[in-house]
Amino acid sequence: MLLYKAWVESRWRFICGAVAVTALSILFVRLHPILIPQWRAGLALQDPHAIKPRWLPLGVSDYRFYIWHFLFDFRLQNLWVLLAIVLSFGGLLREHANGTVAFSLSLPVTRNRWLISRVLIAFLETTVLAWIPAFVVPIASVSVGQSYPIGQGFAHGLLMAVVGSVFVGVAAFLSLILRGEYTPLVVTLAMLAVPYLVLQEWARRVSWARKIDIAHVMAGAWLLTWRDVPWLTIVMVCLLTVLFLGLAARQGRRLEF
Amino acid sequence: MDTVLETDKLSKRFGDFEAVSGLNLRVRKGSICAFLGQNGAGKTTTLRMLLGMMRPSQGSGHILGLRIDDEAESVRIRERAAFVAEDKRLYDYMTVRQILRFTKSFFPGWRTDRESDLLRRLDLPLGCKIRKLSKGMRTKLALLLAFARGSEFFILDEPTEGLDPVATEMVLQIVVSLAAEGATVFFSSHQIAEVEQIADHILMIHKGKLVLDSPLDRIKDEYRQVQAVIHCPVQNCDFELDGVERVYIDGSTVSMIVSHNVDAVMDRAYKMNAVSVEVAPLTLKEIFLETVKASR
Repeated sequence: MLLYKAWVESRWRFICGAVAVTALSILFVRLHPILIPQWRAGLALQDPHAIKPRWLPLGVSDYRFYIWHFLFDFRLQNLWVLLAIVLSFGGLLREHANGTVAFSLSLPVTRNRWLISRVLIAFLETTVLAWIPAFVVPIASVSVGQSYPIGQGFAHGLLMAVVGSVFVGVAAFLSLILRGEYTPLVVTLAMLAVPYLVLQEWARRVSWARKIDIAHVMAGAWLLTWRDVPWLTIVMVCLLTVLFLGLAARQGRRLEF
Repeated sequence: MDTVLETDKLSKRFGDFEAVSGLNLRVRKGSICAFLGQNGAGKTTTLRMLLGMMRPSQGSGHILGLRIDDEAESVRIRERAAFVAEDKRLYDYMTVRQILRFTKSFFPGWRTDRESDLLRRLDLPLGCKIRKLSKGMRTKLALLLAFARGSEFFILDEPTEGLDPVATEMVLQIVVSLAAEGATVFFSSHQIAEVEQIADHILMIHKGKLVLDSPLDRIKDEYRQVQAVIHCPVQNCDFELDGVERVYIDGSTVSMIVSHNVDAVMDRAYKMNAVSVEVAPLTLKEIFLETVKASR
């Protein structure tokens, strides 16, 4: 029933997120027939001053690269990180702010169980959000005369959800540090989203920075195979998530209401 | 076990401020014990320590023989003891039916019969979202969620706050019926009339300290106001006797609040050539006010 409560509490956030992810996926599929002729024309120009990113020829020639570039490596990933933070905030301090903590703590439930149930639902919801494009993109692609393998979308979604779990861990921890109904959300967004975006931008220009750029790891190779999965990074990120959840559990036990 | 709740020198400090100081409480099984005190006296802090929401700075406490400051034992306390907080806000995104189903799942001894009875008597709409309920309806729902748990101990913080007189009366009757079935009730209230109506034991705290611990009957039987008219000069120290809680001197009139030993006080007044001595009973409200004043 704790899972049920965590689900009821967050379901509107999840539904809005699912709609946003679906809309974004469809948008970039539908933009393909509009953007590609423009890029193709740009590539054909002999103007030495024209900006031609290195990925552009591949983006023009391979639809799978185009989808990876705009969704799993860029806009969808940005949106997913935002949603992961939004779905992970909450917990006993937020309940304290809105006055329901006394009722929750009158139930025979340990504080760890409260935390685990909330985090588990956040993991499930973010994983589902990451997998939505795996189903939406292949279906929408038919409407623009393209095809996209469902397995690729599924693998990219899983990689994004597993590596991105660190955002859930950090958000869960900060939700038990910062008091107020919406303060933890605003501060978490500022603390996580700003470095995430800055690092992402920096890593585009400095090659070694990609190793610590979580966005780059979440995106993976554009054609993801078992060989390309960054296992070591995944293990490290998972350990980091566990560390933050451990800190959250410790902080949760120490809180007084 | 005869004692359901027991604390030993229970204290809570917030920085330099001692909210609860060396509290020794005893609540006997089957009793309806009222926990009185002014706003800020430390009642809610005490109740929150009892339920594991706060850790005591010093001292210890047991409910149903289980330690209040041990997390595992605190969970077992909450399996057997129901708590209604002063702030009765509930999950406003749930409906009445959803929160009933949710709460029920934690209590194997849930009283479905009592749930149905209270739903009918308190007129709670099952399909309604909690956010749409009035404050009074939310209070009724919070009480239902506690009363139907099948608990043996009920801790109620201001249970009738925000209720109309009809609902208040209904809740008081339910509390009495819980005790009649063998449960123990420990409740805080500012409504002295309600306390007089249902409580059989009074615990009163002031500035975090226990200032009164007595059965209500004994308080009513023994607390008296003694008023004597004495023409010769008198001082407070002339009435420093066992049982005299407070002395007021206004000209030749000496008023005393006496908790026991009334006869000895009257004897002293006559020995000081009192021209008249009157003894009057005190209401619980007067006793409360005098006890608080005496503790300042």
